[in-house]
Amino acid sequence: MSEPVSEPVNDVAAPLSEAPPAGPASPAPALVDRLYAPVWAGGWTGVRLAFGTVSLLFLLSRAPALADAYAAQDMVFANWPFFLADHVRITLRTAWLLWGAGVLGLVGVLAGGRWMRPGLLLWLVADWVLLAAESLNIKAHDRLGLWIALGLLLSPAAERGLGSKWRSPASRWYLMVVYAGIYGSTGWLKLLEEPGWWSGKVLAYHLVHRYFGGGALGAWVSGQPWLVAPMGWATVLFEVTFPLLVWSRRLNPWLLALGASFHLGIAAMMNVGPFSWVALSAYPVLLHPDVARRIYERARGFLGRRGAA
Amino acid sequence: MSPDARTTPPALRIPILACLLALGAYNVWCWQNALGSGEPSLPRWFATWQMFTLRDPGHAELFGDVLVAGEWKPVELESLFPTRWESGPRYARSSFWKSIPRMRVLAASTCTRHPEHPTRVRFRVDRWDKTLGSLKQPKRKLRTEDLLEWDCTRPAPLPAGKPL
Repeated sequence: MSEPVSEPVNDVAAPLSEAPPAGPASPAPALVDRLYAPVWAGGWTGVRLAFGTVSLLFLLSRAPALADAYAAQDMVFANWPFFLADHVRITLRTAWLLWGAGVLGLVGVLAGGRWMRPGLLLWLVADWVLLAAESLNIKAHDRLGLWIALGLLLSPAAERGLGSKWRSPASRWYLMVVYAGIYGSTGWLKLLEEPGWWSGKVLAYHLVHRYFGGGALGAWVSGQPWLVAPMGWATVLFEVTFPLLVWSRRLNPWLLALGASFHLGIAAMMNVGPFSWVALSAYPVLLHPDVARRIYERARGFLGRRGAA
Repeated sequence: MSPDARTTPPALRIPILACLLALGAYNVWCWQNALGSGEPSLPRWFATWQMFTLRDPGHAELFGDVLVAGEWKPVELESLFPTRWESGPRYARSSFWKSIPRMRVLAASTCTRHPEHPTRVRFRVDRWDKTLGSLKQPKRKLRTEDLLEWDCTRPAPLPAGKPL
């Protein structure tokens, strides 16, 4: 998608306070040229680090369950669309090897540079063989992780020093389409198939789910109709409008702020594993690059002042 | 003037836009499947998203008993099968306990894992209504359903017909 460039033409030395370098100097660039004007690429480093960290922590947390979840010789299942168990049963040693390969791969992702792509591929293969062996429990965050990983492979995320570089917007568009698909799909299903979202009842029932429920806070919220009803409306409105509004320069930051609060609310009130964190890990790139760059500059300035003090 | 080296080469720009449009169309195609609750299909599986969409007003809990020396005893399923997902123990999902082939594997595994070597095992599920606003979930409107009774001398049909 975007073509990483080994040595950028003129942006490495550009101070961050400067405006981004202009695109082609043609007096009236064609629409396609304007669409492909380079954008600030620092967000990709944020995605790489966030996604790598979330995935690594989750993989490490799986270690105690390795024997029973992935290498049990009795509780073996094949489940559509994964039929690995029809042919192979993973032994404990193989499970540990795959787990170790996944950890190694994610360390490569976090290291960045030349290690990122091989590391990402290693983790993808190891993780999905384990998932295929388990087969019954492939979750939304596993599939979302696959889509984000593909975005990382196509992006300039492997490059170092992206905080001062501009790259093609194409890999960002890819993630925007993926997220538009996820939010739009689930939002429009809620809108068309489940009227209970408008009263908040559907959300309230999920908050007291025996396992997905989020403990005392979720249980309390589930009994407050004045609270769950607007939360239900906000959820549906956010998801339904995301596919359109994410492309708007002006509305994009507000939409993503709503999305971040949506995911943080899920993390606080439900037990859905790392889903919220995996979903949020791509936000640095979904955010409009100009806004993301301003946030980056401010954070950098703040940290610089603290360091100087 | 030479093209800007920091962005996509001109020759790839239109093809990439076409690929992104195709990805969007793929997502709509997958969504239509979820909307119509159609048959699962591998090509659509990767982008079919249905998360907490529908109302789920009830709880369900699976219980097991083992027959040892002519006496039925309750079995601690969570200690025999410690793996937990976000959705609880793996056998707790409705898609698990509603599936007879999966329950047979669970039954046969219970026979082999239980330290007292039972001769039979049986399972039932309790279902009751959720109580909003409460951490405690009393068993309101309890319904109990027998699911399966299994003879431990029977071979378990694992995937592809391999015996346990």
